[in-house]
Amino acid sequence: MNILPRPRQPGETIFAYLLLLFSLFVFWEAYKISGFSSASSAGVFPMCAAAVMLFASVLTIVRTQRATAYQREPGLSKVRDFRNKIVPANIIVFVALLVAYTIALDAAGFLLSSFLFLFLSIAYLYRRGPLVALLIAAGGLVVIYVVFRMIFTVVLPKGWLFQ
Amino acid sequence: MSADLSNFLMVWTQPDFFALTAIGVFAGIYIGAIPGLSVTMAVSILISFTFSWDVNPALALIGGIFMGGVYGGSRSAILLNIPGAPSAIATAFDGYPLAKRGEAGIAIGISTVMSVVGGFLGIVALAVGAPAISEFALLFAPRDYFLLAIMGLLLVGSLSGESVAKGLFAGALGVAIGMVGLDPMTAESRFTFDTIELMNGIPYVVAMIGLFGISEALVQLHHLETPLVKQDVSRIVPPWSLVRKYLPLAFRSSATGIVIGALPGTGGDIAALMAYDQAKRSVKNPSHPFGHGAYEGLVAPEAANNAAVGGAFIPMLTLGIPGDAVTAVIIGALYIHGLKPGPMMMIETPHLFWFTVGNLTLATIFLLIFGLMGIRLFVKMVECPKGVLIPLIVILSVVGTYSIQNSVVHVYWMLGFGIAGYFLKTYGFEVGPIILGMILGPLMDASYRRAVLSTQDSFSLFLWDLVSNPITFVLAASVVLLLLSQTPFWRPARTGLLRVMWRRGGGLPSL
Repeated sequence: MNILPRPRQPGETIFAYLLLLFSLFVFWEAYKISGFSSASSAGVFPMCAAAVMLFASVLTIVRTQRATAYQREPGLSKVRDFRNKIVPANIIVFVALLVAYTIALDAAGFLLSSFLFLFLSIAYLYRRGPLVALLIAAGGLVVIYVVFRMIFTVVLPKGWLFQ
Repeated sequence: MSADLSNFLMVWTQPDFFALTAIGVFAGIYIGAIPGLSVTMAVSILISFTFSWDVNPALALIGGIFMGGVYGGSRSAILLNIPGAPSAIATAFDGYPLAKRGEAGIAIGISTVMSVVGGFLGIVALAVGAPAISEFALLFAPRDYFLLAIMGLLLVGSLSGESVAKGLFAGALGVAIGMVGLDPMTAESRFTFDTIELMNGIPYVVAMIGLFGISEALVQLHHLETPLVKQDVSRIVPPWSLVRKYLPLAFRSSATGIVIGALPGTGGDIAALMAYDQAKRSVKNPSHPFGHGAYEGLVAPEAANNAAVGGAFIPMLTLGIPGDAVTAVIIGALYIHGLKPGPMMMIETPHLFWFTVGNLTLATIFLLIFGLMGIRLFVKMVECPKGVLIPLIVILSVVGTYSIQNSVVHVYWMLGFGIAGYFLKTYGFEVGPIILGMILGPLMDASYRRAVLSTQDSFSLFLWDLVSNPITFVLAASVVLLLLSQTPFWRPARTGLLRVMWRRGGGLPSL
């Protein structure tokens, strides 16, 4: 069995163990459906899938542990390293914006929340000043709204705040 | 026959279908070409907007996007050395060195023409092969479908991603997610955690948009600053002598593409890589060494990946088993439009089959037209900064997800899949097998249980069935071989076998 073609990434071992735990949980939930009552019961196939997941996650753990570790910069803690390489500030800010956007969607409706999301994320990622971000956000949203709401007649969330 | 012909021509004669195909190809080329926007992402997001349409216009648009997208990836592979789509990975090997030599225009031209050649051959294979296979598929019992689906998952799991274990995990995870909801046979709830929202299962379009849209957008955040190179694209249309010289290779590569595309679970990306490898081994005197700007290295993958489009439609339309991630998405769309892909679909709705063939043919012609013009506009589009593109992908993903059932809960799900997908991708898991598993899972579950029920719930009789019937036996043996080929025992066994054959004087077999 050949090991990973690349050095192990920060957090990869923990992730592999989390997948194992998740697989165990799925297997337990699958077992609860109908146990081992018959060869054609509703739970057989979910259990098979969970068993494959279990097997594959054990293999993944073995392979991950055999891989050469990623060379950390000296003096950097594991957590710091994970932050830098896997979830840098870009990702954290963007995911936070995403979560805020989807929550706002239900209350504020599509147009307002999408506009705010576009404006803030473009201002953050593109960094050409607020005016440029404002123009792109407004322009992009108008195009999307015209194409999807007016031409494709897709229903978009209205938001309960304005009803 | 005349009815088939009129269905074939429908897309050519009705202005709206004609226009939708053109728009699809155009959009496909540009979406496929922009690194970070894959065909699968485009099709998954756009499909959700076509749910309220009739089947035919939806199919016209989707077919166009598929054809255009598979080709479009080659452009950024040539110009930027970044494959715009997985099917263009092999194109970059020789395409980018060609561009560096100042032959970007000709490289784009030749890859367009060869894509069109491959596309046409794939369609011919579809038109001839699908009716024959679907007739044959009527002989298939539930257990055969079960085995075919396993084969598809194994193939996609073992060929994609960095390890078989990760591919298997992704496939099985998809199967488990596909089981969520009320069991269609006994109405027992599976993985629902007693919540009403989960009773109907998780729609795969939601997972698809999350996994291909949001998670890809998050991955792209790592590559915000990609330097752009200006290329010479003044001459695009390749000289006829060059085209004629490489036609035989294009035919050979297309044949590879069709076969690989038609195998359940393998699509354009693998077809292109296989064809490239084949060309590398079979072409004795390439125009330049492979990897340093050989035209052969451009012709082979480009012909193969578009030939794989027609190929991939074969198992999708005849067996209901997706050929690759995009066809998995298209199958999802067909189900939502109330169709059931499989051998009965060819019998009950033959018009849709001939409509699809006509649509793909037209799309290939548009490919030639759009492929050879509008390069300047294209260069502008590829320069679209990612800081603007990524937020726009998010908005489109949200619109697409919400429009499926007008449910904000689905948007939350989509976001969850997106974030989970980001970590899976970061640690070397492919998300394609998850979608394939979600679609194949319920099919495998139902056909397995039907097969076991037909043996009065006896598992040993079911196993006997696997070896006692010729069709089933061949399929079961293929699955076992596929599994064996992934184990560490296989290599010694293979070399041992080779040694035995060698000693008997039979020469080396091509295993």
